[in-house]
Amino acid sequence: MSKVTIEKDKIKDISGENLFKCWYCGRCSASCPFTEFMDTPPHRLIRRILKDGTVDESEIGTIWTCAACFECTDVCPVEFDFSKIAEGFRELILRRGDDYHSIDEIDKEELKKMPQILLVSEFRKHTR
Amino acid sequence: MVDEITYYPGCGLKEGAEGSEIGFKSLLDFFGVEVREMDDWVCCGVEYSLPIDDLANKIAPIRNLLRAWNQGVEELYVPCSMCYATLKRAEDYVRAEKEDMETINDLMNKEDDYWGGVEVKHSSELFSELIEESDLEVEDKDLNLASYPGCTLLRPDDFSIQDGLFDSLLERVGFVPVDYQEKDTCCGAFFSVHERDITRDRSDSVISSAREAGADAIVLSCPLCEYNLSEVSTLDIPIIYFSQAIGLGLGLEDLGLEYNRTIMKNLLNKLERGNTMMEEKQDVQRG
Repeated sequence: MSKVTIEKDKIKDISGENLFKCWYCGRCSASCPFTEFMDTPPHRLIRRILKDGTVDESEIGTIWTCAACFECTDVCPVEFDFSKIAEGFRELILRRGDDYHSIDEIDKEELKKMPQILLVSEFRKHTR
Repeated sequence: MVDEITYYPGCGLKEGAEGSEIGFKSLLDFFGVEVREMDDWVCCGVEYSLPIDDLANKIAPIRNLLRAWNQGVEELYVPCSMCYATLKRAEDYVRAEKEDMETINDLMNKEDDYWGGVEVKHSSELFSELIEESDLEVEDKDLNLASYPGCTLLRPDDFSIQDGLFDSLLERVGFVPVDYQEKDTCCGAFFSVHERDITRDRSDSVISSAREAGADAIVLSCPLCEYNLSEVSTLDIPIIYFSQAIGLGLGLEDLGLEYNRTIMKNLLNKLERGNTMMEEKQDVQRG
């Protein structure tokens, strides 16, 4: 499994959120409705970034599986906003020009039925 | 008493969520409130841009707020939840980040400067005001409704509507609000584009939880939730917009239910309302 070095400072610059605020208590992960689709739950991803400075490539899936539904933000006891960190992390990758998805991947028939807000939302979060 | 309001529709209400807009207008007509659609509105940006260093992405909602302000609007009502959240957070940002706003105003150089002023409100907050001020008497109905306000009306806390607002208004117009496990969770949002299994899992959880609690229908406000629960979920339940639900409670006719993606037949039968015409209209709409 290839390791990826995480530029903590850049995530902080983009998101405005301080990674060191996190206590790894796991309430975010307990409240997140998407954890079952992640290799690593949110609090553990933060811990890995701070402790090792690197994560396995598969663990980055966590940030692409964040819908910014703010359930984690709502329950955090130290007002740490994982949604902002996930956004900072996504932006860091997207700004290199590596889009996560392309419109060509969508089934043409399904595409016709999709509301604009759905498509704009998806491409705001997963492409640049 | 409010007698005239301005609203921001957003793209969803013009295509796909027509029912939300028709219901909204019918309700305001019932209460004798004149409705004006904001002029020259553009896309709200859909997702509120979280990065602090990318000011260009903040412009879309701010441009709408500026235009509303120039049109003399002090309170802007928004029926779409996604638009509501984006505009509401943008207004808060404008008021808090004066330094950034210097740059953003420069970027919007063909328009006036904006320094805040518009109060952004969700349409349910308006209904609440109107219903509270009225002396409505409505019959109780034997219909259980599961409200599903959706993430954008509930979180983050600073931008949410009043807790339990949907339920209290549904009760006020004679329905039985039901409580259920998945009421405050996410429908699966934009994953329905590329990771449909994630959205299907989430939407199925929401619907099965509502059904287990005895719900006859789900009442929501977000056009994205409506799409996911109706099109992506494998489970069936009638899904209606909040404005339509209040309209049904008040016995209004023109609620645009034919535009909804789910079938309304069982719901209307339960309310003992004629639905033959409605079914035909819905068949035509759904092609």
